[in-house]
Amino acid sequence: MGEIWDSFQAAFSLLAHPDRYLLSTILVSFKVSGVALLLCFPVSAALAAAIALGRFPGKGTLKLLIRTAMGLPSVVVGLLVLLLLSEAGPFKGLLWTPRAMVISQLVLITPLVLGVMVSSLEGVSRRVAEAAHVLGANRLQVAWTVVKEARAGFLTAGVAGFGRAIAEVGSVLIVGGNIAWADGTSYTRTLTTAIVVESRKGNFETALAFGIVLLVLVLCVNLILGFLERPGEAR
Amino acid sequence: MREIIVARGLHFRYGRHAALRGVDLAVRRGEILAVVGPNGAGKTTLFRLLTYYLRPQRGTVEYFLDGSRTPVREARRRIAAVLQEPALFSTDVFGNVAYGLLLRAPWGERLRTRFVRGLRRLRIGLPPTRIERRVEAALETVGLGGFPFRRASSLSRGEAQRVALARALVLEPEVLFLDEPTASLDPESAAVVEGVIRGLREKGKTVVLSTHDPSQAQRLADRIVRLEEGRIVEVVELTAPGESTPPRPAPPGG
Repeated sequence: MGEIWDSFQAAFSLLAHPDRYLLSTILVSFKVSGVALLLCFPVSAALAAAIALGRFPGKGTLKLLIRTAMGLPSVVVGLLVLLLLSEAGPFKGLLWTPRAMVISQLVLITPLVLGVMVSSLEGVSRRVAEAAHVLGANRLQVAWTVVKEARAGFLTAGVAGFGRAIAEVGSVLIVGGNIAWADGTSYTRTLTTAIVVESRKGNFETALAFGIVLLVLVLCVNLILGFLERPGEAR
Repeated sequence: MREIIVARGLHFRYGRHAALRGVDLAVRRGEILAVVGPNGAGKTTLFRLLTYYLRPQRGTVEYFLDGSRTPVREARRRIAAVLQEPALFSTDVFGNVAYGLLLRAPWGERLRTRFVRGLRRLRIGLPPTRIERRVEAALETVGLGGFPFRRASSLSRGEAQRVALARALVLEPEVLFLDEPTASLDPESAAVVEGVIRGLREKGKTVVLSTHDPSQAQRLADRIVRLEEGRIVEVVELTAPGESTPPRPAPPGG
């Protein structure tokens, strides 16, 4: 018990005086997951609007596929992206780079973000779309109105997507390679992969510090987004 | 009297349920046409076809607002409808009533209106914009002046339905569709809605309303169409055709 307490103390003192290793690892985590979310969000929003509001054959099957992909194991995604990016694959040269990590996280979180968006759009009453139509809105304007009604769900989708991206280990470990330079600067090492390495090395206080940082950062993101949601509600 | 909406041979089914089976209907300019019939007779479906929300599986709906055939897109801009449920957008009352106006406004005016609304929220006094004036006038008409900042979700059912009516009135549509406008409303709201309909008649606007209350149809309409099981079974003329504003006894208490 004492050792665990010591680890916590060491972790907090590390947080009070963060070193280059900690800071660069945080930065890599945020950059990779943030870019993945930024790329995923607008595309998913447009796709979700098309899926939820459109009428086309195979819609049920498509939604089933999306729901299935929402639970994709990250190591499987990592493996598939690894094969695509490897020397034998079509996109060679990207392996062991932050870009590769963005690609794998994109594959990982898009079904989740898309799925949450689709169900939030489907939760908006059909009457709202009809009301917009009879006031003269064209198809695009109707879609935009329904999307605005579902904005809370879109926010949830974004938070869930970012949360999944920043907390996953499997795919970034496989395609990123968990690289940190000799001076301690992270290249493809994220908070999660750093936890794996540090705990294997027995540096529990460092691993714990990374874990705490991860939780606090996710908390901060949620607080900011929750704050952003409020003026939207009052608009 | 000129026919401005002509519907021919309308058929519509939801899956295996036939909602409309061969409806022919012409709406004349300046009349108040009441569509009556029991629940499930096809009134709402008929309204959805007439407003182009749904496309008929057989038959046609055509508008002749200026004598010749009016394109669908233009016709849609010159009509408006109030649905059976208010279905307000989750914003404030102003945002709901201004919705159609903002859609039709050039983007510069749209931006300006949003900007002014934002400043007003901070209690900064500014002269009202064109859109704000029209919204306020429409809200006065339905007896909800001074409501623009109220959240739509904070309104009673009667108030919400009146906002839905204001949202359509503000567009000054040439044809207004009202689907069961007073169903499940408190007496005060119902009286306001009926008053608005009478006001529209005096301005020579065309109103198509559905109701399951025969006495309401008698009170308000120039012509009553009875719909049963997706077919028109009866048409009653209450005023002589050709009279644009027929004389009419004042309703008791109204």
